Amino acid sequence: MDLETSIQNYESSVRRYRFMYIAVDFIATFFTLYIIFSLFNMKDIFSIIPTFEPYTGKKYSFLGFKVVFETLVISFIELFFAGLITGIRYRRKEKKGAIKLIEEKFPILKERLGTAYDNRKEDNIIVKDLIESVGTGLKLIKPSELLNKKLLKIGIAAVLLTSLTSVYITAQDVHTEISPKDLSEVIENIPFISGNSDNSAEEEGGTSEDKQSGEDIFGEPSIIVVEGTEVDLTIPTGTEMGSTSMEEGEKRDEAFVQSETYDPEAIASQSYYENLPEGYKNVIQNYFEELAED
Amino acid sequence: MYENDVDSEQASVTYQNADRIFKSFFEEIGNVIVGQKETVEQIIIAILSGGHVLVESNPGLGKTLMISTISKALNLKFSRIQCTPDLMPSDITGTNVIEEGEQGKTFRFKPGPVFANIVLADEINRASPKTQSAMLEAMQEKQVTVGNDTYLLDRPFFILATQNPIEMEGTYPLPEAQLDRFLLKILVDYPSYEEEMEIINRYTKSEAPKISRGLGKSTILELQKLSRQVPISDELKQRVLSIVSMTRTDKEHIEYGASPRASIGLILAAKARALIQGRNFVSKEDVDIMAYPVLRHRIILTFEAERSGMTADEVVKEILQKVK
Repeated sequence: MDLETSIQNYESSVRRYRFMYIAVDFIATFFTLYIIFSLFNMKDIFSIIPTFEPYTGKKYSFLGFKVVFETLVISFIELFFAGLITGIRYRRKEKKGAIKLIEEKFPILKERLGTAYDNRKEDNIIVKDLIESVGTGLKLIKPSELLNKKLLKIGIAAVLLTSLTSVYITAQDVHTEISPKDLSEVIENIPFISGNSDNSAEEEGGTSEDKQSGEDIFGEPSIIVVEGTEVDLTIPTGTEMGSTSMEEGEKRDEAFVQSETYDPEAIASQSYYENLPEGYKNVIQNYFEELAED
Repeated sequence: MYENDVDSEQASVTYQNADRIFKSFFEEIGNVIVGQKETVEQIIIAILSGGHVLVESNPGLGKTLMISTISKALNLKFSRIQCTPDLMPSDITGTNVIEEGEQGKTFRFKPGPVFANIVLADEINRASPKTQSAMLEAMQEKQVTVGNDTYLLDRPFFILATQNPIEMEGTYPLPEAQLDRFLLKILVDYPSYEEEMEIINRYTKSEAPKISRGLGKSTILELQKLSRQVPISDELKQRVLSIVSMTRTDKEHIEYGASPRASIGLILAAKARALIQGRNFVSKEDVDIMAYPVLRHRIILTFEAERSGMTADEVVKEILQKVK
């Protein structure tokens, strides 16, 4: 087998091993996200988003199973983020080819293998000698020796640990008291983010449009200049002239007053004989008793 | 009539024996020259790469002895030019002289000292710029033109020029264009105490040590050919280019960087070193070690760098650390 074919075989093995590392990493990340999302009740997020609220609790058929909307969407989100995180991690990592891996693992081939491969098309006595010696060394290296067993073992252990934890927290319904709903409440209390800010400004007597100084309530200039002197035309309140901003008299409490609660159960009407007019009581009583007997 | 003409079978035999050849060669040199193994190795690297060397050292460190010993160990024709301000170009290249014969007076070319395999241009910076540039054609084209005639120089052709770092008065520093034509600039330092003791022991006896055997011109030509055949990986080629291009971008320390000739020179020198070291591939170590003598005379430091006492070697060291 020539050097090029040997290296191609090693490369395909390395690609296969790299796929294994990525797959194991992806599964472990997915289960980790599942645990985090379950612990922090991420399913509740749909009940605070108006767009998704109508779908919450509904069941949808997925791969022959009836799955609740929240579970289905959360699973897709977990898959997406697991893919994203794994992708970023492996994109940042230096992709070592078979030659680099062999040279690192077998120092006797360091620099020699790469040089021999780069110059494999050269035809001279030194290159031939180098390729021959490198080829002898390569015969002793099995592709499986390039597998990073330690990395794979750690990955599999992580998958086992996270998957078992996921099964446990699902079966035992383990979760914290923290929920996205708490976040929603926090957001509502933040000024300028929630709708309260506008109301508070109006309550304080202000308007949404601030008046410019020197303007009256109609926006007209209230200061004029007469013979070089500024004269303020603003009519102060309480001078019995013009309108005041508030009617005189007692303040009306226009706040909403809740009505008293009452027992929602049905109340039976009074018996016919309880409020009969005086003097006719016996007549009416007899009439109804006879009517009942008939 | 160059390396390609050398029989490939002969080259194969030389390659098989390369280790033994270099070992016996350096042993032979070591009988005469004490220490300075690195300097001798770098001179041989330059010879194998087909380049020239500029040696800078204080007087009395055995430069002339070293180069004459190397030429004897290589069995090559050696000549020495002592450069002075009144040295004329024709004193180096040779000139046409009138000769009287049966056909009357004719011009005959009398070759100068440059017509040798190894030429020592001692204190080259004392020669006038006109004379210095007379050597340019010989160094680059390996030929000499006198009048309308061009004469090819014998192969291998190697110039070792020396210059003195002190006594700069009355000298003509080599222009950048000419400096670039030297493959390596070697700095020779004083010997250690032990080495100097060995020197005085050897050279105070009645007979000075001599070279007993040499390599031969054909072996050198074969080794030159083999040296170019040593493979280098693409990764190391990229490293060489990164190193050289960084000399052009490091504006903090370097005013003018190295030319593409430096990239070629560095790869050739690294290949020759690998062959001398008995390797059939160029290693990162070869590139890094050869970067100093290849680049130190090809970069011009900024005023700030020089003022802060930095040397070209320190700048090269920084570059090597930066390049991955």
